[in-house]
Amino acid sequence: MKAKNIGRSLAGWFEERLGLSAVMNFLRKKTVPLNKHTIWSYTGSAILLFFGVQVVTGIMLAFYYKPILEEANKSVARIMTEVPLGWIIRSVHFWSASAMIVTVFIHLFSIWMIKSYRKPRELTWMSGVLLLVVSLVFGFTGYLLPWDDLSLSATKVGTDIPRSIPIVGEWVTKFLRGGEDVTGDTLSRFFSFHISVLPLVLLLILAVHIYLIQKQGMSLPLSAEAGKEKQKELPFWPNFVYREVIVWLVLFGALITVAVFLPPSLGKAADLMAPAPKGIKPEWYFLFLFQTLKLFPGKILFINGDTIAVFLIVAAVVLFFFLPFLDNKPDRIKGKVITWLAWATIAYAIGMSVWSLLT
Amino acid sequence: MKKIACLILLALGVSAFFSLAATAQQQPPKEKNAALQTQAQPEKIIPAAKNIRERTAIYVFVAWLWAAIFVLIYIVRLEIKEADRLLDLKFYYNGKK
Repeated sequence: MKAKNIGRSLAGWFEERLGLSAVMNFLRKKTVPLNKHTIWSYTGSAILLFFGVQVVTGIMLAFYYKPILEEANKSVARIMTEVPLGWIIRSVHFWSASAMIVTVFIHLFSIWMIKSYRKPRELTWMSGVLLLVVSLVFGFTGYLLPWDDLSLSATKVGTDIPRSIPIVGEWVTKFLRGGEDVTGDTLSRFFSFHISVLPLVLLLILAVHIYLIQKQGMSLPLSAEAGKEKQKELPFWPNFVYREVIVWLVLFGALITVAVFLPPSLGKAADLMAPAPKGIKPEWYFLFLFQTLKLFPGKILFINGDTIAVFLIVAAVVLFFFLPFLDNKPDRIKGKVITWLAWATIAYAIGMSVWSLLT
Repeated sequence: MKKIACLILLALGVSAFFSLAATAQQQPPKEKNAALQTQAQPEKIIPAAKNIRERTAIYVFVAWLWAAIFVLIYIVRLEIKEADRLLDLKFYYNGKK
């Protein structure tokens, strides 16, 4: 009884100063629509789970990692061979990165299919696209940090692509590399981006994204909005959150299991003078872009093929960013065509990725 | 039932923690450092359990993890049933008790 009284007084003390009961009341009022699309509502919190795992494992790795040319690969080798359970932490970090990006793609495509970006949720979509870009940049910068032959070559290729953009291309490549070539400066620059700039940017955009979701509530499917079907709802707290906890537990267990049985290896330290190894490929989430670039010939009507490819990719991303404004009549034929485009994009990305892996 | 599940979880946790901590002890860092320096760097480092004891500890850890997850899922499902029951009774009205 005494412990309960102490607990109550402590809770009252914090409540007087923080006013957290207002947050709990808000969460109790918030509802989640129950329909055949509710399953996709779990992807958002799954992304947060993987991001949290990335932050925790990333901090643990940063205790031992040295972002210096001569020490980077050795420090990762030390983490894997000397630090107790270091290889598991690195493996969890590696697999959680992929899991986070997969979930971001699933989340984005599910929103595209059910058109949750309809008015007034356009900004939520746009902030989501920015979060996808930041997640991919996280992956790109993190890939270099082990500083082995594969990561050096992939970074050389990846940072060379912007060079084909007219006027600003050279500057962008130099900015990314910290000079003309990929060197130790590139490593420390990528490390700074990976552990400070990108987390801050992501948290800022995430705050806006979550604020917008809370402010506007969860979207309804088109048919429910048209009043064709009665809408069931579930309170966010505690009913939906408890269900999310089950999803988190299963995902966490799967992540640890995969990390323990399929740990990533580490190649020998990169040699800046050595030529690129044969058949290098980027991480899986860039494979479809990599294969798309390979499709373009050297020159198309006197214009560099790479320049055209980069422009087309950037144009596609811009269209993707402004999708809510393009799909302004989702219940008409235009809306159905855009939904068909979503399936086509998924098929294209998977097809090109598989093709890249097989060649 | 919930208390029994929590006790099982605690027992699993304590036993797994101590067995894992005991197995995770590796050679003292100084010795390892010296060993690593004298060796030429291998082409590729593939992490794996160094001996049968470590491998067993890994399997035990994964088994413990899933046992703990199933127990936790059981507990959370009880909470879900209770929350849904209260919802059906309209215990929460406009988000206020």
